[in-house]
Amino acid sequence: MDHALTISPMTAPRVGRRRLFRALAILFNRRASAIGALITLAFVFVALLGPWLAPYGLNQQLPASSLQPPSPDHWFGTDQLGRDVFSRVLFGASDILIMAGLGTLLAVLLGTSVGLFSAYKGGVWDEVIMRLFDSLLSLPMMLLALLLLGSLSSSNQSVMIVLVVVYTPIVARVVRSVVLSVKDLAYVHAARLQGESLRWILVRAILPATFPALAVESALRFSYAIFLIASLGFLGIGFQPPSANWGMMVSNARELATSAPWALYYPAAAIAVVVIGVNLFADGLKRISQAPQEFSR
Amino acid sequence: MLAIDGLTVAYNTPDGVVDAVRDVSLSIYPGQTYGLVGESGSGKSTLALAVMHYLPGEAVIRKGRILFDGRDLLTLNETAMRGIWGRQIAFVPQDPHASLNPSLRIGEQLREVLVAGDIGPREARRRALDLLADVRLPDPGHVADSYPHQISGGMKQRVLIAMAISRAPSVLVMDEPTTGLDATTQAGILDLIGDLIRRRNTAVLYVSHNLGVVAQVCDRVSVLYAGEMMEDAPATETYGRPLHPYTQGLLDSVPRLGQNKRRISLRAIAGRPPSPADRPGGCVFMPRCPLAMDICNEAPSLFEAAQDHHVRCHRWQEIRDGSADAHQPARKIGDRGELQVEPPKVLTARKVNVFFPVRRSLADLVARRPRQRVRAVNGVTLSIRRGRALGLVGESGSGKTTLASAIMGLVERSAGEIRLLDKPLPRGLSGRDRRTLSGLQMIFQDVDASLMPTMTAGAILARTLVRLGGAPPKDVPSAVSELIDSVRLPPEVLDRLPGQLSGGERQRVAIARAIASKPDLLVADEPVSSLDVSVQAAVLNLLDELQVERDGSLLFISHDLAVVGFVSDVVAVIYLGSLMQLAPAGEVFDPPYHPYTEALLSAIPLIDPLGQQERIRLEGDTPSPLDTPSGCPFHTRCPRFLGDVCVTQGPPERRTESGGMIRCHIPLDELRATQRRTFRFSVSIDKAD
Repeated sequence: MDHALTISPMTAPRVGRRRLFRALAILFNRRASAIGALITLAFVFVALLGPWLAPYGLNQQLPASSLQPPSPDHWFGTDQLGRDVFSRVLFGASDILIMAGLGTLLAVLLGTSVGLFSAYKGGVWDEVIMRLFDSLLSLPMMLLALLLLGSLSSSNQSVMIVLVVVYTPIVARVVRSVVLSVKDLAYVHAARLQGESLRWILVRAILPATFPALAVESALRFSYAIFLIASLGFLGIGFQPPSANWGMMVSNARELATSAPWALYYPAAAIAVVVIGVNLFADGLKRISQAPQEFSR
Repeated sequence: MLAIDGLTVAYNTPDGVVDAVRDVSLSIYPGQTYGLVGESGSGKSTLALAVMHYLPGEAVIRKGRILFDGRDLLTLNETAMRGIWGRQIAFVPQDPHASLNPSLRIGEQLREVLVAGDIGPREARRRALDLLADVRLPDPGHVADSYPHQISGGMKQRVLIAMAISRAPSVLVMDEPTTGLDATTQAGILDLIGDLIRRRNTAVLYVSHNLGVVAQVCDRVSVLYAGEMMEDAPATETYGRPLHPYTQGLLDSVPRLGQNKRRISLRAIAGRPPSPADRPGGCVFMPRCPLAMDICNEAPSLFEAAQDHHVRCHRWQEIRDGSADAHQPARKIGDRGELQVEPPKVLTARKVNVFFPVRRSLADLVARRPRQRVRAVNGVTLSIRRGRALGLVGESGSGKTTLASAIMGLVERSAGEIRLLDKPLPRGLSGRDRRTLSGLQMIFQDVDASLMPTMTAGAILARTLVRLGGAPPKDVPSAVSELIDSVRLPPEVLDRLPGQLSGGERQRVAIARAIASKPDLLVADEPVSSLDVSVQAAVLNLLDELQVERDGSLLFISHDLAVVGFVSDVVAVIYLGSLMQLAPAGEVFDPPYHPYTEALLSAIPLIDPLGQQERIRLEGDTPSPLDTPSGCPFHTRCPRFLGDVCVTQGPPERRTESGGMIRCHIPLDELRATQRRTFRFSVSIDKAD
């Protein structure tokens, strides 16, 4: 008998916490990922609390002070209607980020379900679904968004639909490729051999394997969703004027580039910073998912 | 010629700096083949790369020198090394599939190497063809014009050897050059390597985990464990009179060709190799050593036991005198007399076919070519009796795993009948009820993937018990404890995730899961081939004990005839999806053989440098299962090819007296008269325990 199998006295919950620490260590070990994570965190915070943090109302006009340069009263200055740019950027954050977050969430949920099903079932189902998605993806994203919005009413729901239609195929593809690499692994066969239902196999056995890729992909999709919403706003589609879409703010302040650059640059900078920040964060997540597992023997 | 002097190599890892190789010294002389044997994590590949001065960036050389021609290679920069790589020291890598450029023809790649060595292009072309002929590739011109994906793995490995020798280096470093190749292909490559070394007087550093291969090729063998050299001696000494408990344990834990569990049991080394990050202080082997004493808490130095024989063990003198026996005690397994009565059949398969249709390309459709089929399994008939083990042996592409999947229902058979306990088995899993599923369970080859990564071992076993064992929920915890105990694991394992277990532990949990439903038949598909050598024996012993305890039946699949012969009561040899021979385990090693079995047996390297073996080598490669040869599937490579009858007619099934079967056109008497036993050990391997 070889009872001499050595196992260190380490219990499961402690291991879970150790994993979290390890993941955070990987994230914060690299400056770029750490900055990305902090930026993302900061913007999420602003998006949730923005309306309460803002010193002025969204459309509160201060007639006496239009086109004021940045000052202690107006950190980002004011626009041509005398509205506080800082407040509008904060309000915009909650509009854009919540919209982008919800759209991404829906696209990820839908894309994951379709990708799981399509890859596991294979055959004709897979063929039909994937070719359909291929044809969607063959259109430039912006063109697709414009086409859709052209035929829908201009509203928040429409923007959400656009995000779902544009991102579902992408997420589905990512999930599908992970599932294809997992579905013939021994533990999935073992589950089938003990008569597990299709749902159990998909949800319990296969879905967890997609989480690392899914986390990275969701973060990326989120940053592009912000980008897409801002771009649509710049073109004047999607959000309607009372709300503060950063893209729309940029577009409205175009003529002020020389006379009152703050009205143009602050919202533009907000777009750039959040998109870059979330991208860096996604890159950090990727590093975590690719880090070698412990006990790889 | 080449001397490694006190080399210590470490890696920078997230857990700190970890030594991979510790204080290793050795010298290799022209014409000598120096074997480095070790399990995973022993540091053998690191050592090979260090000799090339080609370590990855995370590696740090902490101490030592590598002396070559009076220079220390470790002090040279890359430019200087470029003058040495290929020209003076050449490398043959492990994975032939990843080591050739897929977008260049073989000839161009060879010429590239030659032209780098100041040879004109025209001369290079001629030399390339010469080299391909040198490594005994048939039709060198054709090979030179092929892309890597168009030739087989064995041919690629020959091309890599041709590249390595192209500039007549004085030192060759070979890192597992035949791992991953089939036995019959490996035999040809080993012949070639032996031949080249003899002709060219090259010094060779040969790295491998395979004790047989090293015994066949090397003059001198160094055994590495956890980065340290345990024993270093001429091959005949290492294999004949090992002085280190680890060497002895390693040799004891591998079944030899011809051994069977009914006569002899394997002596497993307890425990598992330490992870490089937490090596024991003192003697690194101490935690697993049956001879460990207090003194072993101090690190032993490398003692000179005899001229040319070094051993790192405090107790080597006692081991030499025989006053300390490092052989692990063999376990007694009940009464295992010869098989007399025939128990009932648990599984019967009759004329089973598994064909996979190949997708037709657009060009095929346009040209109206008929749909092709891969004939993975072709008319296989076999049966397994209660309490017996049937061993299925075959090389890659022989259809052995497909046959197992068809039995399990993971793949649907195209034709034929399979019955479990005399009830017909539906083709696919969807038609099988819970009773059928619990009667048939499987252990998988891929140890890393055999358990769900997100569930603890305990949860996995509980789930299986609930699904298949029909256990009421309140009995599950105790049943889980019983199961984990029956595979000789401590209960703490139940709280671990698979990622926190070693390969051997994971495979035991997988075995526990497979026996949870008390199956009538357990199918084990290469259950030990991804485990370290020293861990394999314990898993094989466990399977055997469980089989005896539960009177279960086993279908054991492997590419390794020695392992199959050891584990099984009946051996089935399969080639290109067809059964070639069925024999009681005691008889498969003696004539009459099927000519394919004969070739397979003579291709397996004996773990005995002084052993003798018939030299039967197969020509060419296994044909594609898309296009199986007519008549006898083996006729294209058969050394005993008779003529037209083999090409036009399927061979008859000839029954032997003992109930075996050989499918061959040659009558049994004639086979018996012309064949000799293909191998002979220099010492008796059947010594009773």
